[in-house]
Formats: sequence, structure tokens, C-alpha cells
Amino acid sequence: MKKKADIRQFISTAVPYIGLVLLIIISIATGGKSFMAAKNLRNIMTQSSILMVVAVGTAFVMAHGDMDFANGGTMGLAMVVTLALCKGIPSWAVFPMCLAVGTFIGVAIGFLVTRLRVVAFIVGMCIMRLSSAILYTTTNKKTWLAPAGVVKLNKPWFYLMVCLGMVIAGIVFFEFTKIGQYNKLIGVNRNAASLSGINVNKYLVYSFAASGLCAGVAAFMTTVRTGGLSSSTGNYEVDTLIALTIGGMPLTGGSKASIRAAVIGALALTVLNNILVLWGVNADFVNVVKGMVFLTLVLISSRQNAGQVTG
Amino acid sequence: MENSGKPRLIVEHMSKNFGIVKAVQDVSLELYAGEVRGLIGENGSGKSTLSAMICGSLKPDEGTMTFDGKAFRPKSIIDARNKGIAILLQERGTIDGMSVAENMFIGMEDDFKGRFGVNRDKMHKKAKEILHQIGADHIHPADLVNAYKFEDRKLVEVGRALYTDPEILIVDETTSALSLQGREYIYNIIRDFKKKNKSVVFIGHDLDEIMHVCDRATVLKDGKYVATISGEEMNPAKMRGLMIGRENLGHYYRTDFQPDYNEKEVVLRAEHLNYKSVIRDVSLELHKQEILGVCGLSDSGMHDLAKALFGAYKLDSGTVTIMNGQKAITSTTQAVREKIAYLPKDRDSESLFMHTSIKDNISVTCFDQKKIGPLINKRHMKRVAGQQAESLNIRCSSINQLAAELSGGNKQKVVVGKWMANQADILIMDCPTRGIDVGVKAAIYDLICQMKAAGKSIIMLSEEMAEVIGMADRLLVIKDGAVQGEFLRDKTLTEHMLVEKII
Repeated sequence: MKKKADIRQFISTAVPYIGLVLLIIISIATGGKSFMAAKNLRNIMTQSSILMVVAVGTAFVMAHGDMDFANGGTMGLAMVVTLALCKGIPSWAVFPMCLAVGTFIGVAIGFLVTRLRVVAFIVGMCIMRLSSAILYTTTNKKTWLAPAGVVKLNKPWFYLMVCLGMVIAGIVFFEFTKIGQYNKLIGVNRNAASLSGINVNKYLVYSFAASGLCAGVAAFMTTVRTGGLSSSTGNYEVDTLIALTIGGMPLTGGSKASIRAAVIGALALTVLNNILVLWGVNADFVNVVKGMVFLTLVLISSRQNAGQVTG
Repeated sequence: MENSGKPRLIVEHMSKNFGIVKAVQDVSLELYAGEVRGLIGENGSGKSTLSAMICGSLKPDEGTMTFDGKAFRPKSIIDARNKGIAILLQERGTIDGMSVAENMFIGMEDDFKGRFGVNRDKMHKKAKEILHQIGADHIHPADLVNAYKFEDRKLVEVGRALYTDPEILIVDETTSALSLQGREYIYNIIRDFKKKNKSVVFIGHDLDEIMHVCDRATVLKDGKYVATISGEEMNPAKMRGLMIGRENLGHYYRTDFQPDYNEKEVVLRAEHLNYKSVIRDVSLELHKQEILGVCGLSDSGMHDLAKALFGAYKLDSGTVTIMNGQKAITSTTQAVREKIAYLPKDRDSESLFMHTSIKDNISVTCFDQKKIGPLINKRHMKRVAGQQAESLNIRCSSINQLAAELSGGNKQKVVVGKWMANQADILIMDCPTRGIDVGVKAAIYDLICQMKAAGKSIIMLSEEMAEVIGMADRLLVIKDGAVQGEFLRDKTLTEHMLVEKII
């Protein structure tokens, strides 16, 4: 029997899917051949896969209601450490190095937030600034190239496989371990979570670690894609936020948080970006459109914030 | 009744619907001068809707009111107040960031017009005068209202209601939020009204209180008028029967009058607990199958004690030890692992995940049960939640319904379900029946007895002495954060004996 609550749940889940499908239909109809061109589709896939990986990690932090502005900065720092500090690192070590640095930064953020009680998005802002300053000074006079073995990976299947693996792992950790589930409950009511026996601080640290780890993976993907360090590495903070919101992630976290939001949102935002460029829209105006979409979604989602935790 | 002469307020054939819900149906009543009238009924019986129509905050769909011979059709709460009928609400009605005096005269600033806007001196003087009248001299008109605790804020609201010198005062479940002392203030005001031959409508859940405060009581059930009773008839059993619609309810509290627990087996021991200045050197032992009652005023520190026993505080000194395995409890996580349950006084903000399903609320303690390798077992969690909802008889459309949509009693059942799902052995229940109607209250008492019989140990903290006396094997009285006295279950134990230690 379909109950009122179930129907409401169904509708709020379906909206992002419908949006994505509509967007794709519009893109095919108006973009035609240039949208469906193999090169363009490959581009969409590469771009969305990196965004998706970052967003999967960010979903863990947003589940408990914090804004994650550290993901782009973490990516940048992971790349600086791997390519510049560990100059001449062997190809095989680039990936584990990126992962380790990303996770380390995530854990550090977790401790700043839980032990020293600094607001998460302030920490994120600092890391973002820190990263862009370091990137600027390191890339100012010198170019840092990735080991050749890493650059060889720049093939569509690589992005697809990594992205797929991260999404599956994300779903498993989010839906079937306490890390995701507890963070959602903390997002609903932190007090009640703590008084129900949940070790709130521990699971907050886990969520930041997850975000850092995903940023590390994304840093590796970016290294493969760009073949080296550039001053504009990172810059994913706002895009992940918009992508997750498009995908249906509530800004306050809680029971409606999901990995699905990262997947749908990253795809939708990339397609939107792509079609706007194909239409010949000025790059600055693309940002205006993204801003408007974000504002509209925030307005909608702040009006309906209810649902379930364990799906 | 000694009520002579014409009624002051006549309510005739009042009805109010909210969509398909018939909140009040064809209710009539007459209120006499100098009368304190109780208005009782279970949650959803229509008593608050009825009082809201009388005080002007809701418009009736049908029916008329006559006040002192004239038709009475208030347009708003302020209009009703100006015409002589004022209401005291259950929820908090003061506004943070404003002073006590500003809160008292909100909407009536014109009375204090000075040359430049509001004349604060005049306002503060008047506020002081009113606060003095109700015996609340410790509240200062110029202070921000935030500086005061809940009880004192309530008194500020009382002052607001009394400023217009109303002829009829409606007290809507105000006292259930107050401690003994706060209640005493309200009772004084009611006595004063009676002395001046004015009338009071008193709405409440606590039937003993109704019996003491009111001259007569009108019972509502499912939005309909049931009866008005007075004198001998006004006893809790009769009232309860009328409210539920059954005369014979059987037992309510425990029916045995002997302390009955395993004296030799201590399950939880607290030694010399100190926390800030709220808990002072408290030691206690909980035995197997014991219901240990703890009572005191709301600011006695007993609510903090409950949290401290559950490991929610970083104590200044002292230890809480679980005797089975001799483990010290230092965090809530550990307390839950050791099968301790905590049911807070403030359910909504400390125990429930409101905009979340009943299923998720109950299964929050079950993430480690029947794991599939490293992964959680959602099917098992859903099954457990379903079982608890069924055995506790939670009234809901499905376990996917949101907890926020449930009534107070059913919310409490969800909280109980959450701990039963974890097979808790020790339950710390802080005000387990607060804001719960009589029918569900009886079910909760029943449940506590069942848990005791099943070998569980219970610490029951409450501000309602009657329920602690009615349920506990052993009883501790807390005052100023310290244990002031201990009583064993006994037929002769009365509230009076406890009050002496409490105040």
C-alpha cells in the first residue's frame, strides 16, 4: 500500500532524475551534432568524472550539515606535495601519495573541527586560500610535470573506471556502514545522536577523512589529465556544492543526503556547462546561470526537508 | 454548588473543524463568577481548541459566546484581552532580546507614551508593581528576558496577562512546564482571582492538580462534551474514566506496596559524582529489578544527574560503574554498549530525529546487530523497528511515517522502542510521562512494570511526586544537586513527606 509519506519520498527522489533527463533531451535537441560528437561526449565524461569523485567525498561532510570548502584546496595541496615536494617520484607512487596527502588533510580538518571547534567551512576557506597561494608560488617560475607513466593513463576508460569504483565504494560506505548512516543522523539532530550513543566526534572526523580521500583521488585524476601542476588546480568548491544541490542534497544534511545526489548532480552540472558553451554563451554568463540555478534549488530545498535515513 | 446568580460567560454549541478533523463539536458550557473550572481530556480531545476560541486566537465555525450578557466575538487574543479574557499558554511566549518590561507590555506600548517614544521609567515602574503583586520581586523589569530561566519567563507572561486586569483567566497547561515553586505562584494568582469573584478556566493533564485547584471540572472527549463534575465525584479515578470513556481502568500505578528487588545484586553504582555546581557528591546504587525513583524540583540537578549517569558529562570527579564487568561509564557510546538506556525529559530535541522515519528512529541503536561482514544489515534493522512499533502499539500509518507527525505519547513509545531494540538492561527515564495523555501514560507505567518483571533495572526521575511514589521501590529526593533523603516503598508514603525534603 502506498502511504502519503512514501509518495512524498518518491516525488522528492524523482525530481533530480527528471531534471537530468530533461537537460539531456534539451541538449541533444539544441546541441545536435556538436553535442553528440564523440569528442564532446568524452569531454563531458572526463570533466564530470573528476567532479563526481570530489562530490562523492563531499557528500559525507554535507550529510552531517557542514559545508565542505576544503575539497579543491586539498586537491591542490595533494598535487603540490606529490609533484613538487617529492620531485622525481616514481609513477607507481603518485596515486598512493595523492591519497595519503588528501586523507591526511581530511583528518587534520576533522581534528580542527571536533577538538578545536573551528567551523568547518572556515577551515575550508583557509585551506582553499593556502592552496592557491602555494600553487601560485610553486608554478610561478617553474613547470612541474607528472611522471610519464602517469600521463599515459589519460584514456577515457581510466576516468570511467576510477569514477565507477569511487561511486560504488561511496554508496557502500554511505549506505551500508555507520560512517554514512551516522553522519546523516548527526545532520538531523546532533544532540539526539550523541545521546543515542553515537560517538559524534569520531564520525565527523571519518566524514572529513572520506572527503579528503576522494579529493586525493581527484587530484590524481587531474594530474593524469593535465600532465602537471598548474596554478588553477582545484577550484572545485563551488561546483561541488552546486552539483550536490542539483542532485537533491539538502544543505543542512540529514536524512535526505545521498551519494545519488553526487552522481546526478555532477552529470547535470557538467552537461549544463557544456551546452551553455555550445550555445556560445559567454563564459562569465555561464557562471551567472549556474548561480541562478543554485539559488533556485536552495530556495526549493529549504522548503522541503524531510525523508528517511536508511532508504 | 455555591455559585449563585447568572453565569458570566456562556458558551453555546461551539464547533470547530480543521479540514476533516472535527476538533470541537457542539460544546456548551457556563462559567460562573468566582469559579475555577477545570477543563480536562486526553490529547486531541479539543480542550486547547475550545480555549483558543474563547481567548480569540481561533474563530469558531459555529456557536456563540455571551460574556456578561453581551455577545462576545473576539477578533484576536489582544481583542479578547481588552474585553477582559486573558490566556496563559503552555509554550514559551516571551521574545528573546527584549527586556522583561517590553515583553510584559508588548502591543500596549501606547500606554507608556512619553515625549520621545516610550517612557521606559514609567514602563519599568508599572512592571515592578505587577511583578510585586504576583510575588515575583526577584525579576527585574529592565533585564533582558533571556537572562531568566523558563519559570521566570512564564511569570513574565503571567504579568502580561494580569496587566489588563482580566475578568476571566484561561490557564492552558501552563503548570506542566513549571516546577513546584513556579506552580505555587500560579495557584496564588488563581486563589486571588477567586477571592475577587473573578473566574478561571484551568486546563491540565495532572488530575491530582485539577482536584486541588478546581471547583468543578468539565470533561471533553473526541471534541465532544462528556460531563461536568464537582465535589466528591471529582476524584482522579472518576475523571480518568470519563476521559477515556471506560469506568473501570484497573490499575494505574503499581498495585503492590512492598519494595521488591534483589538487594544483593547491584547493577550500577555511582560514587561521589560532582559536576560544576549542579551535582554535589551524589552516590547511589541501583539494584537488579529495582525501580529507583528520583524526585526533586526541575532545577534541583536531577536532570543533570540523569545525563551524568549516562556518561553524557565530563564529570569533575566521581565514577559511574556498571557492576557487570566492573566497567566505568565515561561516554554515551560506552553507556549504550553496556546496555544502558536514557530517555530524556526533552524528547524532541534530545532523543528524536524528528523529520526522519519511525523506522530510523528505532533502529538507531541497531547498527551493530547481525552485521553482514563489515556491512550493516538494513533488513534486520527494519524488522526490529517493525517489531518494536507493533509490540509497543505505536499509532502510525507505517513505520515510514515521520516521527515529527506523532503525538507526544507515541513519540515517547518510539524512544522506548529504540532502547528496547538494543535490549537495554538499565533504563534511565527522565520524566517518562511528561506531556503524555492519560491513556498512554497508563501504557507507559504498564511497560515499566513489565520491564521490571523482565529483570531490568530502572531509574525513574520525575517532578511529579505521585508517579514516583506510585512506581518506585526506593526513592531518593534531590535538592541543590545533593541527595536529601531516601524512602522505601510504603503505603503510608505521601507527597507531603517528600515535599518537606524537596523545598
